Amino acid sequence: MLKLIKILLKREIKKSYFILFLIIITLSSLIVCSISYKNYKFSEKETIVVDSKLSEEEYYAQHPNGSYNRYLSNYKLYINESINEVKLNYLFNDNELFSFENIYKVQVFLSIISIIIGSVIILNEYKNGTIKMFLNKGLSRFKIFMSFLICCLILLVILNLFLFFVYTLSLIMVSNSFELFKFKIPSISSDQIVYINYYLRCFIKFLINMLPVVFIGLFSFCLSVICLNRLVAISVSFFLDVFGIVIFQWLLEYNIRFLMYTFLPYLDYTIFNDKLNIILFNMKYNTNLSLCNGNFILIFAFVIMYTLSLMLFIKRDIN
Amino acid sequence: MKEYLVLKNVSKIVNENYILKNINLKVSKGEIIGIVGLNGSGKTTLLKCILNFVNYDGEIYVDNRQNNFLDKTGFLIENPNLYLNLTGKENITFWLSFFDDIDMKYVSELCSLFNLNLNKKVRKYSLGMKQKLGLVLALINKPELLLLDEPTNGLDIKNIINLRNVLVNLDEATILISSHDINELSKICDRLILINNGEIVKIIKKREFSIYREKKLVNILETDYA
Repeated sequence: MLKLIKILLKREIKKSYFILFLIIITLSSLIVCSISYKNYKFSEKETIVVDSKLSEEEYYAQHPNGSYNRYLSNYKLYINESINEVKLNYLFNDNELFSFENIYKVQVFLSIISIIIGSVIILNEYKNGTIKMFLNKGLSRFKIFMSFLICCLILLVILNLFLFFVYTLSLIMVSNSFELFKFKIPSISSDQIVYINYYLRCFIKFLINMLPVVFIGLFSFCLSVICLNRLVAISVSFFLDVFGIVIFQWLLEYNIRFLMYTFLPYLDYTIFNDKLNIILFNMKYNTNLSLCNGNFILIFAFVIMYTLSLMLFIKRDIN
Repeated sequence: MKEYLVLKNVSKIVNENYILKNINLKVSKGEIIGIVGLNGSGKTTLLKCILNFVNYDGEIYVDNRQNNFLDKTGFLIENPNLYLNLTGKENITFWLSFFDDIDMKYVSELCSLFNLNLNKKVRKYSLGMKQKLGLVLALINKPELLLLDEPTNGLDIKNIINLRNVLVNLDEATILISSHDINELSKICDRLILINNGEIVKIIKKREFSIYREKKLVNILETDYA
């Protein structure tokens, strides 16, 4: 099985579409980095004065790169809730708009690439009839299925890590400095102020955000095995990926609350990037979306899709 | 002679219709079997059952093993299974990477025997060229069990003779060939199996070929092409 995975990986990496995806990721990283450079600022936290509400002019005088609307909503939260120093820093410091945060926007774009890879990797074998050739290479159908699945998973992880690597390089190029690696920010998860490496935090966040991207790719893989139709696999996965959260919000309006236990709201983890946003979302819709639930639900949903597609792959006649 | 391939009560039912019905067959090692029948009689399905491509009822043993996952099997069923975007050479190289002990001299002999243009994309191959590449891929690992469905499709007379010579000279290979070309089958096969409506209706031994060719087989062919 290892040999088959190795052969498949070697072949897929050499394919023109994979190289094209690498080029697209590189270009996207460069473009996003260049555009967001104006917000790029590595400095210590500023002293924040929140004794009185700032006017728009006063705010922009102090925070030329900030967002006044964001300030207002944060101020509202600050007034209504008891807040510690760490949260205060987090809420009112626009240095959070660092350029590196924009990598998650490119990562969302990566989910489209994941869908394409997931849906073509095994369906091409069906289309060419070459899936039959794999069946007489001394391997069971289970091992063949697993080899393709693992190969798909490795390709998706490679693409994600490649994005992180390229984005780091782009940022170094654009800023012409290595300050990115030195900069430290306070952790807001504890009452004690603990400074952690910003780059490391971004990498951990990136890895967490990778989960839905990999999930949608594998979902598309399983769907392609189930329906044996590339168009259906791509369009359904794409639809869910793009409109998942919108459909979820829309159905919540009709009080269909069980959807928060499905993978629909978790197809884009960028909603968790801003803690304030997710707190407000949960308050507004009376839901309990969280990263922990998200991870569990995505893994559970994948196991269901995997079991279904594997059963069909093993049982189905290959004509 | 040692029995290499054994089929016991093999049936295939699709939508409550029998595609294959209680097929019982024993094939010795090194034997060449020809399968003859009308269109839709179940010839290809029988080969697919042996290769585990389709589910079936009954038992199939290859070299005393059931549900085997043989790597010493070669096949060419219906259309050749090729990567159209790759060249002939790339197709061969890809499938060669699955085998550890490949006789490269034998592979290059096969390619030159069939006069394959390996540097051309398969998409641009003619039907005959695709068929020849499919045959090379079926033969590259010197299979112990070789299953061929209409192997002479699209081949010119020169390549039909070449294929015949290759098949006859395969050492110890058990070969099943499904074809409508009874003349060609009678030249290389040890036995002919006649299939009608998914059932084996007659097994003809080599010494009986001339009798049956004159009496029954012509009628079957006429019915087939009518």
